[in-house]
Amino acid sequence: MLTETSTITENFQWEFPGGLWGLVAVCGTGLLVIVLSYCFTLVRLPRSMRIFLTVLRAGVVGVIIAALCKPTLVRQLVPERQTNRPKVAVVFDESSSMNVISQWGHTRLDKSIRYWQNVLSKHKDRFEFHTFAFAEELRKIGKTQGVEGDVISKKDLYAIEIRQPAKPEDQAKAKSTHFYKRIADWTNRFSSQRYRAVICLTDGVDTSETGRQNAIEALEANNLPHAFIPMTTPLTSLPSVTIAKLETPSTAAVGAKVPVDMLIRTSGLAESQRLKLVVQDGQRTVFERSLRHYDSSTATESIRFAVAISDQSTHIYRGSILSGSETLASVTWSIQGLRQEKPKILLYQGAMDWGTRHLRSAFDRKDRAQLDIRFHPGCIGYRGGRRTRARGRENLEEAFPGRLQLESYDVVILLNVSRQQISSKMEKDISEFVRNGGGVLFLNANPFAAKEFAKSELERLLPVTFSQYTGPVDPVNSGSRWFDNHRKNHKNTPWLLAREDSLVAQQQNRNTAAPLHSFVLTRDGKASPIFNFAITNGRVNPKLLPKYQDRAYIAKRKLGATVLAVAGRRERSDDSGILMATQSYGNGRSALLATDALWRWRLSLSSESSAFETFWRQLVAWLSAGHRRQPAWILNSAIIAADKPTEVRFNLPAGSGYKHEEVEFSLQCGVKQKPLTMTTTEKPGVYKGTVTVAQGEKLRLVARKEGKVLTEAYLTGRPRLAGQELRVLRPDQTGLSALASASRGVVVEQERDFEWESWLPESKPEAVKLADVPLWHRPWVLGLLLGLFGLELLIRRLYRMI
Amino acid sequence: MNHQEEKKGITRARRPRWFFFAGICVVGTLIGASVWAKDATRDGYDESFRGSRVSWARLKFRVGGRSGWRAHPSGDVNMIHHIRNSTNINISRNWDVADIDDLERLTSYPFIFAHAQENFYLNAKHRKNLGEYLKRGGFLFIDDCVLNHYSAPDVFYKAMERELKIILPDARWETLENDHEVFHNVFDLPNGLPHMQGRARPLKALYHKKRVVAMICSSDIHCGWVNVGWFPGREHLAAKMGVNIYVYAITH
Repeated sequence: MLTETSTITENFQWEFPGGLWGLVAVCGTGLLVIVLSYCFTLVRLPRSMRIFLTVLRAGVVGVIIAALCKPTLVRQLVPERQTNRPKVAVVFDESSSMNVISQWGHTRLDKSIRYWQNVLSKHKDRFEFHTFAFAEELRKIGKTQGVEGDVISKKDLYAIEIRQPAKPEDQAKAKSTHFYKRIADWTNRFSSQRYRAVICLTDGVDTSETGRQNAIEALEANNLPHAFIPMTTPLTSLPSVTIAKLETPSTAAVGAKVPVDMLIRTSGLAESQRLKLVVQDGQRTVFERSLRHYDSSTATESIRFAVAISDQSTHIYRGSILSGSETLASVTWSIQGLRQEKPKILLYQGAMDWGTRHLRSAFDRKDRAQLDIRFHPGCIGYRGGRRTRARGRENLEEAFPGRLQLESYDVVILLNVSRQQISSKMEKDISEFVRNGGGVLFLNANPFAAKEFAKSELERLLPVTFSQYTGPVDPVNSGSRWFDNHRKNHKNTPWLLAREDSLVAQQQNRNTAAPLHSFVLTRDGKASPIFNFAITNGRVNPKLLPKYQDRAYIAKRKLGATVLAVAGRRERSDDSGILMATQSYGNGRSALLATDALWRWRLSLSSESSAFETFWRQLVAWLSAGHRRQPAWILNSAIIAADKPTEVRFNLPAGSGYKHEEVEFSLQCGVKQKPLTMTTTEKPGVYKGTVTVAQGEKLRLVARKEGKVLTEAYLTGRPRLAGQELRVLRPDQTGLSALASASRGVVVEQERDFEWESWLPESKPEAVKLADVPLWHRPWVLGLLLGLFGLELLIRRLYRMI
Repeated sequence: MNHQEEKKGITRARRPRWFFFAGICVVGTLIGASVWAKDATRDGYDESFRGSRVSWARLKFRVGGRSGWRAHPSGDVNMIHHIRNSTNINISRNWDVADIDDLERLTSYPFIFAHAQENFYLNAKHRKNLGEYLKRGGFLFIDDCVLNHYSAPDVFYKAMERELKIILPDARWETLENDHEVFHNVFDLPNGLPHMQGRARPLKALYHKKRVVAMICSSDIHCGWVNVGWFPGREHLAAKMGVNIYVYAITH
């Protein structure tokens, strides 16, 4: 949009193959040919005419070359340096922890308002402030600064003033803090509304069940600097122990060790109080551990342990936090053991690769999977007397299984497949296979092959988009090149022997093998079960991380995809550096491994090491997880929000032998039992229903056929967050520092002076391209060309040269 | 010169010879440049049909004889060409050397070719390195060389067979019959292993935990790869056998 503070600039641009040197070479060669042709023309001409004809011809060639240079006038809109004040959002935390009255008689909210009035509002000449408040939701408060008043008072905020110990009526009107969730939301919102920065006045307490990670990722992605002003008024936390989160799959293969992640919050406990977590499967204790807590302060401890699934029944676990013989908190959950089926893998190869030999070792030879290896017909070139590509193109679907046959596999690995080797029917079949619960792994380290899949049907189901960058081509050493070039001309002569000796001398002390590069795990990668073999005591063991030799280049990950591993900074080129990414697609899963099949990593590991085999087995297990044939409840978490309707899902695969009409669903709370209605979803074989659980209540979900229990699962109602808010009151300054660092912002202490005036750098005007005006396809250029050419023809005809 | 031209004072100049040569040079340069440019772009096109990069390597170890371990590397380069041409394996055109002293260097190559004529000695470190390489999944192809005729034709063959049995005591040598996959996977060789020179023995495979880790022959097929006309009519069979062995190793 044109504004008074913008100017339009015009820049001349041109391009020619080879750049300036290419242009000079072509002009020079053209001129040389013209001069030579007229110097030695067979027709005797006066010198002046020769020069004139030369100039005419040079003019014609010059106009042609000038047109080939594609001269263009680029018109740009360059805004003047912004004279307006930068828009800054000021966000007040109005949750209940900000409303608790301290021993000095004021709340953290009082201090926030005071800081606003005494410090921030004095900089309204420098910034254009817009004020907001958040607790569970974000809302706009007050008026835009500098437009209508600049007073923010308690009336604008949710100020309720709670005295400790909180009374039941205070608890009822308490608001919890969804701090991390709100940050993730407002970062996107404020960025799109062209805010330059955010100032947040908060104690950093978050009592929702959202992790900090989402907020950090949103801050890193948006580049919106945040200044956090911690409200650190000391408040006494009340004794509290809660199991805030429990994450574990509701189903697992028999024989598997299932990870369980538990988040335990403690606050206000006496120093001498000893806590212990005990997990029992029926009467049997499967895990036991002492918990740390630091006298009366708030502590959050994340505990990960594994439980072994020994048989096909539903295992019911109870986790209790004990203080002596007293149970302070408990949770019940269930994991259904599923038949361990040996995954059936189709390894389809577009090009032969040493990965085949080593994948065979990981699966086939150790009887851990059924590996069906198939090759694209073009892998072998001269069989049948035809060239590789010709043969391949004719029989694209010859070796690839049909739609129905594909369903018998759990996982399809597409190794080194190029775009020309996949027909649209094959792409559709694979897409349908994944939608129905199958897993697909696209494994290709060849950047030439990978780039061809950009915008293909296959790319749609993969977690990334491919880059067009292909990287450098490998050089061939001179000795080998000589023999390769002179292959047919060999004679057994001393010359050949001398050349051979020279090649041996050149190569014998040189290690020309391509170097190996290590995976760098992302946060999601570290948390993924695929890489748990490389995590020791919560830390990544770099010696166990996969290493690769070649990689394809990835433009970016898709929305909703999870990047597990990236290349190290040194190995990155003009791409995102993504090596491994996963995503769910329909009922199935897809993964990308933009490296070779890691066979060189296997060769670099000791023969005793099982890291390579474990990696591959776990990757295949993850991919095939959607391809189950047993009915099972699908629960995201064993602890759900109390008194709120929550959706539960049930998976009844087509291959299970049961029909939806035959299965009765019920929910049981204590001795009460009532039917549960499960309706169809957009995914075939998946049904959904809604349940509500009271705080601390345990609910049993059961699926029966003719009275026989097919499967069951347990849910626990989480204590209300608002009540939690009045217990956890210690400000989280560490969390605020992490958030500030992710946003390239600052943590500003109230007591210290901060140079708000110089906080935000001046914004640089960004030019907007308005139009490209081509200068060469003009009528006068054509006219000039024809004129010069015609004049030259005339003169040549005059002198009977034509 | 015709009459009218003479009348107008226009005369034809003598055609200078060097001008034609210059023209030929220019045209030749242009054609050469276009062929070169086409070749350069073709490389990238071909590469999209190939898998991850791999290099061929010759085993460097202490062995007697005139050429020791390094006889005729040109044969290996020819073999690389045959593999590239017959399959879409992304094998590098480079000829490399894998030193038995250096395990890290050995494990950079999934397939190593050992070729010599005489007896040899492996010390404990060499045995350990070679054993570890094979246990990790490496593949060794051994061919007995015949460079001169004053030593027994299969000394190296026997020595290597013996050494590998010492290195991998739980492995077993098996003779591959003519109906084995290795004689038919890429090129059909109904008569089994082609014989160039030396003592004709069948191709043998060393099995370690259900996997073939090495193959050995005494027919000097490597000399057939050198392709200088030593074995007219049989050299192409040697090349085909080499391709079959490489493809068998990569797929098993």
